[in-house]
Amino acid sequence: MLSLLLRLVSLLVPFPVRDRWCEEWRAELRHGGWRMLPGALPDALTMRRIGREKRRQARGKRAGLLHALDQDVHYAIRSSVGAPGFTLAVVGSLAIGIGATTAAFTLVNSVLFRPFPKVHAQEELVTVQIAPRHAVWFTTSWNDYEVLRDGIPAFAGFSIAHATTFAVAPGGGEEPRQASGLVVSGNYFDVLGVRPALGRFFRLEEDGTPWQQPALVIGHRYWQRQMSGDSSVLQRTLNVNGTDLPIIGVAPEGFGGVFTSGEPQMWITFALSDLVFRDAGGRPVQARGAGVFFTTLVGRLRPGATIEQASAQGAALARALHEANDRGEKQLFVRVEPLRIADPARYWPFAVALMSVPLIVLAIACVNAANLLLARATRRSQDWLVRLSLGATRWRLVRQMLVESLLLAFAGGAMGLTLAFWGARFIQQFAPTRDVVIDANVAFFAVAAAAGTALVFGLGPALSVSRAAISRAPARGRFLRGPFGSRTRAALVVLQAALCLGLLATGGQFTNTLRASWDEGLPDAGHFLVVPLDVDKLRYDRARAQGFYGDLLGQVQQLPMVRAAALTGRSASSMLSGLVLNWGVRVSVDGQPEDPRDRSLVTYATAGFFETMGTHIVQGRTFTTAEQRPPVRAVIVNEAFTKKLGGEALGRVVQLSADGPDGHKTITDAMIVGVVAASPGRPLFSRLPNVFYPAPVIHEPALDLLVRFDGDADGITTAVRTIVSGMDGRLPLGQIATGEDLRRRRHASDYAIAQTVSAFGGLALFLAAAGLYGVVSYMVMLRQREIGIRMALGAARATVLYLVLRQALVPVALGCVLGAAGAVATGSLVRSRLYGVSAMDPVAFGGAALLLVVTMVVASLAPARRAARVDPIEVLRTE
Amino acid sequence: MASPTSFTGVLILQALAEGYRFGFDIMQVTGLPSGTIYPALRRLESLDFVTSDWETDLNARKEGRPRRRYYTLTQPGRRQLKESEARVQAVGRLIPRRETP
Repeated sequence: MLSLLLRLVSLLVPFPVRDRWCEEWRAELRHGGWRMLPGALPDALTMRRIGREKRRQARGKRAGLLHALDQDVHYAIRSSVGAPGFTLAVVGSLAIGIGATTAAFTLVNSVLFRPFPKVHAQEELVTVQIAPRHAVWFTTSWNDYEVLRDGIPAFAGFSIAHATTFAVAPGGGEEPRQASGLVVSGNYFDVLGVRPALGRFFRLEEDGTPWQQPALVIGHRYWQRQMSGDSSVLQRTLNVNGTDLPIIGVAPEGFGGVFTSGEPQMWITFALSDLVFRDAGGRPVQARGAGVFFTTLVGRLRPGATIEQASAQGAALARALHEANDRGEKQLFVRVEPLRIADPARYWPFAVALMSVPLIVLAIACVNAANLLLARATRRSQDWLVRLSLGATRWRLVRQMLVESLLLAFAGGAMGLTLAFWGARFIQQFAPTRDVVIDANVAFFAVAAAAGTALVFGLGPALSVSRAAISRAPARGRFLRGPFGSRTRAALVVLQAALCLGLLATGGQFTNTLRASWDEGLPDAGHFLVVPLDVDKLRYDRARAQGFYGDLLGQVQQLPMVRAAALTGRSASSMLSGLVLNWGVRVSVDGQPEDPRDRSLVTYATAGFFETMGTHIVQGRTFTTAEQRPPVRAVIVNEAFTKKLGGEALGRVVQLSADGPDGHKTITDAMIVGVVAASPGRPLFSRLPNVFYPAPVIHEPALDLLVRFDGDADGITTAVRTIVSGMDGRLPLGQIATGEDLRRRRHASDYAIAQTVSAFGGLALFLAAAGLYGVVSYMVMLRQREIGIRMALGAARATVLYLVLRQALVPVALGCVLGAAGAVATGSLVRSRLYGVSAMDPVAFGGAALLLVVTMVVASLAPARRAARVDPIEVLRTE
Repeated sequence: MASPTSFTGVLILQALAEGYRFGFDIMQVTGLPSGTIYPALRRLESLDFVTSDWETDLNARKEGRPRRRYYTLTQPGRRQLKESEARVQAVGRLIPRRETP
């Protein structure tokens, strides 16, 4: 303890006399014990002061810290160009590390520091939400909006937007298609401060009396892709949801609204809201009569007004809001928050997680660079000694190495920035709607990363080499031992191997887990097709919708390649995508409504549903054709529902109820005619009780057509398209997807993460292999004499090979053990994200470890063979 | 540097003249704290009033302890000591002795 303190204090003492000083004090402490110790610090300070005075005397005037820096830079450039292999290895390593980190940072940057694209003065914008105390609501009624708009004077403008999907029929023989879009208040673009790329945005009168002045704004991408950027569009109309609307303007490029998923393609005002909104009976209504709907409310603060003022004014409206909409909530709160893509306080864990993996790669790159730098510095030890003997200070040597590492790091940073440019595109998969670009922030980050990296990998070698040059007795112009103890270097290799295996195993485990989870649920997903349809956009009434869907199903079933086909409510396909929505229909047994917290799923499904989905009927039968016409008389339940009923299910009668138009309730009795095995979809949801009914209970305009087919997916897609367009040329088909597509989409983000971790693991492996190669080459060089002597004494080549390989691979093996432990820890993190993962995946772990070890053996083999080729005579001659 | 040596310096020079040769010894005999002794020794050494020498390894090993650093007075040191003693005494005479009642 005492000696440790002494060691610490001794750092103040000038280096050349430090050891002596320590020795004297150790002797003194021996006599006087700890009470001597307080004298050590003033003594050390005195030593330091005296040393400085002496130097000053010797030198006359003291040279500045940066004296003749240009020499260092010149020298650094010359020596880097003179050793292209070394330079390339270091710069390449750093470029990969810095590139990976910078690419990840572009995403964090786009979320945290960039405004919504094309939005003007975002700091003046706020979002408003109304909700009970601890809840989050994204829904508002038209009345709520009016109360807020008229009641908060702090706002210069207050807008409302509702996201929807339009059915667009361009005419002229083109296929109708779906387009994402928004219904907005007339001031929407003014509040956001967006300027049109062409034409103009809405005028006040276009959001006044319904249908007085219809108008449509289209998005830039839609304009470019579907209308080939033609500037005459302003004279044209577009058929949207069955109505021709005149185009008045084009939104600027890149404008994606705020909080929208994907870039909206068109905007209409609330004066035309009956194109989109329906009442409970399915009849078109204006937003005012549509109850609550999903909205985004954005306000712009008046100059000088604060968020606090707006909040206070909003809070005062709580009572008025409560009266304006009767949602049964006792107390409503108005939340006014700054408009930003993500709240930094909530986003930072995500940012840390995102940055951690590339930072590991950067750490490996730094270790590489440090190792290579060490090796080269040792090789240049002759230079150091000459410079020292000519009177260079230690600082000059340290500075020389720091200048070199800075130079290398900035070269690496520049290359890394280029790599990041591509990497950012790859990473954009995580956030398709954000503009992930290289801006000043990102460039600054890359420069900072390069500078920090240079310090991290340059300072250690610089200090230890310069110390070795001063203190160790050099023999033949070369230090006898490496500057870093061999233990330090081994530790670096252990670290690299551990980080590398950690990444590889985690990535592998992730990917395998995903594969495993893909095998659950739907059998033979490649021969399963979902066709989403929505006749609501074309304002079909109930009878017409039923006729349309009946005909469609009939025609599709006639197709030769179709094995089975069925219609179902949207909930079935949303179950496949991992989301459960329960539309209007509820089930009750013996007149007892279900506990709202333990509600069964109720799904519309025609007879072919179970065959199409590959679900087995375990009891009873499927629906008959007669049962597929309303009113509903029969239902089929799954085993989970049977369990809930208790006892025999077949033949029991349940009640289906739904809220019809004008609060009128439809209740029908239906008998259970069949029991099916688990519901399709994720294992979690298949455990939920489910009731299937064969005919529409209420007006359900949006249905999914499910097809089980033979042959390839393109053929059946074309056939279905032909049938639909033959029935109604204006009806767009939604995104037709095979079961495979649905799964891929469901796992898209997980898959992207797995891919990224694996990609980084690959990079890490490459860097670690390059690093080990460098270390082993260096080691071989240091031990050349020893190897020569061994061989002169009769050691076989194989023995030498073994010697070198052993020294290289023992730390790798140790690193594997550590890395495996780390991967087990991250594995538990992965498990929290995914279902059905085994505790540890031996295949992923074994595979990753094997890959690592094989790579490492290959990397160390070349220098080892060089060692084995050492000619003992040559070595001994230079003795 | 012909700086007048401090009172501490005089004490240490005296101790060295008496044959106390290393830090701990000097501390014992002068009663000065270690934080005073060592910096003063360094100063004296840098002024060439004292020199230091390491005791032989053999000696230290015999007694089973680390080597000691022995300080000795140089010729200028002895001269300085004499001057300083004279000055200190002179200063002492300057101050009138207070009569204790």
